[in-house]
Amino acid sequence: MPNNHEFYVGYLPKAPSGIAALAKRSVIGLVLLTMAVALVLVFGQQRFAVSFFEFGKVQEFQGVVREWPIPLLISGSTGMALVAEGKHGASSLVAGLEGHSVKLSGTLIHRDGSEMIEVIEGSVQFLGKADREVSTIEDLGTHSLAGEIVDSKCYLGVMNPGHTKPHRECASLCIRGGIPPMFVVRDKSNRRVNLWLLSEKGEPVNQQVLDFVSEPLEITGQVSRISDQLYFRAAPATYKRLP
Amino acid sequence: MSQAYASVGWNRQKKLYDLVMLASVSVYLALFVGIGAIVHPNATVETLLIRGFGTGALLMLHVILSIGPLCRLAPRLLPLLYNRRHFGVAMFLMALAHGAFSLVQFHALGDLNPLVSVLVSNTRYDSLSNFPFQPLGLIALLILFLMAATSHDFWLANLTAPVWKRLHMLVYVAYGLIVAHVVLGVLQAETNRLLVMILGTGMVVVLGLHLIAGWRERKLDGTADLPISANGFVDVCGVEDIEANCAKVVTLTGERVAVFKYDGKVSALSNVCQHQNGPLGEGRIIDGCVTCPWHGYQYLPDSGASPPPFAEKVPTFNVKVVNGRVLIDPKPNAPGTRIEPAKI
Amino acid sequence: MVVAQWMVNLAMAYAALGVAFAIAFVFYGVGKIDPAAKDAPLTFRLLIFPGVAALWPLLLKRWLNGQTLPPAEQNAHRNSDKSVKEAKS
Repeated sequence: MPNNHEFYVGYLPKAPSGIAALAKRSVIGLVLLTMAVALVLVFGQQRFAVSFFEFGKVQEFQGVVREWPIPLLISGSTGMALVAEGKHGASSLVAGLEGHSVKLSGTLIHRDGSEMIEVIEGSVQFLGKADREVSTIEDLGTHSLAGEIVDSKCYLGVMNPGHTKPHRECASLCIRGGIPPMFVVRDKSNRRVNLWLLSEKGEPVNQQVLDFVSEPLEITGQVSRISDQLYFRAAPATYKRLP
Repeated sequence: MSQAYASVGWNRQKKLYDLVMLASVSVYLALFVGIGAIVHPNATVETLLIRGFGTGALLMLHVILSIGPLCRLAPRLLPLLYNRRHFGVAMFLMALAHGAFSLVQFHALGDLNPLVSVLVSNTRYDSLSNFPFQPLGLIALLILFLMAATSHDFWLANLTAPVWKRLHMLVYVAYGLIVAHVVLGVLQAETNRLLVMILGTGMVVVLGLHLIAGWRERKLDGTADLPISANGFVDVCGVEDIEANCAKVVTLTGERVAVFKYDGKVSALSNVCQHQNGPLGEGRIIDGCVTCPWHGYQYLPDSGASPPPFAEKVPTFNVKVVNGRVLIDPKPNAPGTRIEPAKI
Repeated sequence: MVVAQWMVNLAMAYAALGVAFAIAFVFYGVGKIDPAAKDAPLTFRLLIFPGVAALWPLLLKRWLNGQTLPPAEQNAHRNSDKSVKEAKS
């Protein structure tokens, strides 16, 4: 039976026994609630993507530079996109090196077989002019695709999750800073396919897509392949927002 | 107030309060980040910390907001209220950590000032589902900062309790902004209905407790219209209606009055504690002093003045006992004016 | 973008002025406007620092006006007490 005449005065060393017992029970209840909420939230979160940013593990890479429209390092038949540190693209790091063989240091970023290098500024060393044409363009036709514009650096592994609305501001800032925008779609067997998004003329389109990142879109344009990289050319004015 | 300010007026109960609170916060973060890292090996530490601090702060805010109405409904829970300001400051620090980590993670090392980026990087102010959720969180964080920064008694004294309380009522604006921040932010990406249900339950608890407590208070103030007799005194109750060393609360001149019975005497003073405007009439007479139920501030029942060295004062009322009825002059006396108690 | 940049700049300028004011206020001014703060310890001064930096125009005004005590609380009972009424009439 609670004693309603008990009165709690905080600065007195001991609380009345009934009130102290109730406080103890309330605190135990709150601690259990705290633990329950923590566990439900841990298990209730979506699964995280299998993507990697090998932070702290600097490697040396060698290959042929493709400078335009997306900076790439071609090594054998694989292309690895190049970005700079922070939220910046690598255009200035490889300017004037189109078709040249180089050595550079950087950190590997990878997801779903797509690879990217965060190039350490000042590490690009010119090795010589490549002795053969590095690329042929394969036209894959016009397609209407539904997907999301992401900043390729975060999406491929620097952040996880690196897409959808909570990441929108970051994606926009990265694309503004020169990180190539990527259009992520699903193919018929529900596998993710990453396409480099370009203007209809095949130029970088960063500043024109800032209003459209991280939301469902339908884009109609020309798909092409150069080595193992897919490109998607479309006029930003024709992007359609999906509900 | 003539007492010099201390940084914190520590006592055993406050230490216990803070210890339990900090232990709970640590348990929450340890579970969220620790088990989170095992369950989600691909999650980065930054993401787990941002989410841990954010969800932890939101859980704390729900508890903080529930304590007020809970104590109105069940005064025996007042120990939960006693050091709630430290709870609030701790919640702000969690929210600040969430905000700071997010600012660095999402907005640093770019072409824009990170704070400018928070405001402009999502341009979809024209859409509801795509509406920028981060500025909402930023505004809420500024409100929580203002509250945490003014939590010391210095601010209660220098803003005065009514202004301080109005400022701290902004917590409800912050709560609304934070709910919108979560609904328009992470819940746009997470698909698990359980997360929506948890937030919904929290909102129902906070809102429900406030509505119930508010409804009960209205009933109390509804008994305000008491008849004024010819000599200007109001018959507020019978002497036997007041429990010994306790008070009956009536509303006179637009505010509640606490009518205390003690040692065969009756005294009446304004119900509003000068410290944080706590309800004196729900307090007790302890060691001959009216003692506020919230933080134990004390006043002499006949003068409404705190015993030296303290300097708080509340208005007093002229009181008479005639034929077992308690009569009160509704015109308040200046704070601290001694009025002869009415003998029973 | 320009508006956002201005908002951030203004907020930064306000905060910078607040921090500068707070340094002078917590060590010197606070004791002038509130006698209970005159001999308060360093930790008290640090605790009120963020709030002073945020609400500096209010405190600056009190300091400049030479106020020596915290203001009196306003509520229905205090505003209509007999001494107030007598002073008014």
